[in-house]
Amino acid sequence: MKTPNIILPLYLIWLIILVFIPFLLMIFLAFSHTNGLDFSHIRFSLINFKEIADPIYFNAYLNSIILSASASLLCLLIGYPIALIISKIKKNSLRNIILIMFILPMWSNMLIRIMGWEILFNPNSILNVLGISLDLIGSPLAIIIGMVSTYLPFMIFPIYTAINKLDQALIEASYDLGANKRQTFRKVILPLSLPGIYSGLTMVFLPSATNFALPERLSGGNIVLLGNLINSNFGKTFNYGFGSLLSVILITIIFITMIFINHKDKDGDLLI
Amino acid sequence: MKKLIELKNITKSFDEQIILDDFNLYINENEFITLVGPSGCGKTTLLRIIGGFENTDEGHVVFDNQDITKLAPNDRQINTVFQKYALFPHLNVYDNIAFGLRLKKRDEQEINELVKWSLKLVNLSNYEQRDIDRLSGGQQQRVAIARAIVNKPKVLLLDEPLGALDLKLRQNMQYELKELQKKLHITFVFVTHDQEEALSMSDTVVVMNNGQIQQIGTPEDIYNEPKNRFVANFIGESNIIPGKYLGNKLVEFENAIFECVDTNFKENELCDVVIRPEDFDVVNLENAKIKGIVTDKVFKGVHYELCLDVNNKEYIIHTYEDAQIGSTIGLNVDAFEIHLMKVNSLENA
Repeated sequence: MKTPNIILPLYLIWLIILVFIPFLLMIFLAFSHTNGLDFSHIRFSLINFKEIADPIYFNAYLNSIILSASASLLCLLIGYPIALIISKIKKNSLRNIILIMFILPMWSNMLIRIMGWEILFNPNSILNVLGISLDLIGSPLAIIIGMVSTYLPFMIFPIYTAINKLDQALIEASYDLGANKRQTFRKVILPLSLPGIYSGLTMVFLPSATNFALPERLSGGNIVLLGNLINSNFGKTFNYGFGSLLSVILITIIFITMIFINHKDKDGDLLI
Repeated sequence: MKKLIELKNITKSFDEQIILDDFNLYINENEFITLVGPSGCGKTTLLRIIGGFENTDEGHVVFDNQDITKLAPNDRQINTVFQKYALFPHLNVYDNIAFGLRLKKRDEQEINELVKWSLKLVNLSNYEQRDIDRLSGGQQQRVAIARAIVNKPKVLLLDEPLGALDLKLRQNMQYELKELQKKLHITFVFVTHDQEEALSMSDTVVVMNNGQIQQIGTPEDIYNEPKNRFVANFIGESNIIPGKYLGNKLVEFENAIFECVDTNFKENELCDVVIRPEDFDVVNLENAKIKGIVTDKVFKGVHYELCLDVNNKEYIIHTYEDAQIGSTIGLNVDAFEIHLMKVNSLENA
């Protein structure tokens, strides 16, 4: 039990430098007014808060949350059965091959994969050969498909892990007490894989809600997500103060969501 | 007595390795039967076949005159107490015990009464709302038993249920399980590698090795009249000495002639003589038929365990009196303490 004593301070330093101090800086910037990137006349100001009252930002938050929540749920609906099936495969080699099949795409650049979708979602694409013409760019569906395809492995793996480490004796105990396969799934396997579901939801929801490249390619400028706004404030208009305020609010929303999920996790029931 | 379970010609192998080899056994109603043997002898596999968790390669499982070989575990009137309890960690004590009853759609009032009844049987009243991970090993054990008996099965399978408990607790639970079995009139099939446990709890003991029955009988039979070297060595400690049956209830070993009670041997037939360590009498040297040098001694509380060198063979004897290492002591054995085994009996010890 000596390792935690070394790891813990290192981890704390890491957290302070890379999370805590940047977060404080952002709070500081959110209450400041600067002239672009010229910080020499920095002063305290609530101007960012006035600006955020514009409904366009509320909509961006709403879009981000609704789209990434839908993508998370879709990932769960697709990912859970896949994880369950993989865990049922008895042959190790076959199981590993299937697991690798889900990891392999992650080795290629996300942007390239998104651009692949972008091409397919245009009315004129290679799909025309099959007599299919999609016109999805700019629709919420395009964004959700993009998110699901990008983050599905993050749902599959934690659920697979949770199911896999489930004590086989518990499943046998359930049969022993008279439960059939469906009842065993509902009363034993599903509740005991909830931790995997929670971490899967977290790991899909967080990057989906903050991603900006994905909506930028697939929204055709139609749908603005929060990631895009933060990106343009930091990268295009150099309004660090406002960008920080948007980020701080997003982080707070995510933080509250996580507390909610963790709390539910301890109870070990429901949410879905 | 009525036969409740019949195992007919059960054969089972994993990866070419034969675990059970043409195994036959019947289990009576209300019997406390114990399968005992070293690890890998097939006892747990046998239990899992009765429970329905393993298929047989060949053979049939008959329960109450019905062939249940292919029946799923959830359709059998059999419940199991698992080795590591297998309590559901997401449910509390009450919900764990009510699990089976709820599946049977009993009404909550009845479930409530039955759960309380079963908790009382295992001396855990008022633990209903406890979380599983806040129970000690012994308490978890009791909940596992309650969860099984609350369904009032005809047969309860117990897979080394006491293995993880400390000695004192284990002895208490042995006693309580025996009492429970008498009270509930349920057939208990108990699996253990602990021969002492097998002897102290069972009506019938089945000694297994290499997927076959070595001996089946009452605890007294098994202990006093082991059929072969394996049983003699596995059940309790034994001194096995080569000897010769002279006929007329006389046997010769260690250059001395002893009276015995066995008769099913031919004159001058070679045999193995089994004498339990506690069955030797230490006598003074003039009256002794066997003499040995004490090479080692261990104080065991009630008795001393002595290692003796008798004609270059090692003997283990139990005696109440102390002896000096290096001294020579004399031994005698009464006729009824001498058990003879056929030499050609299985030697897989």
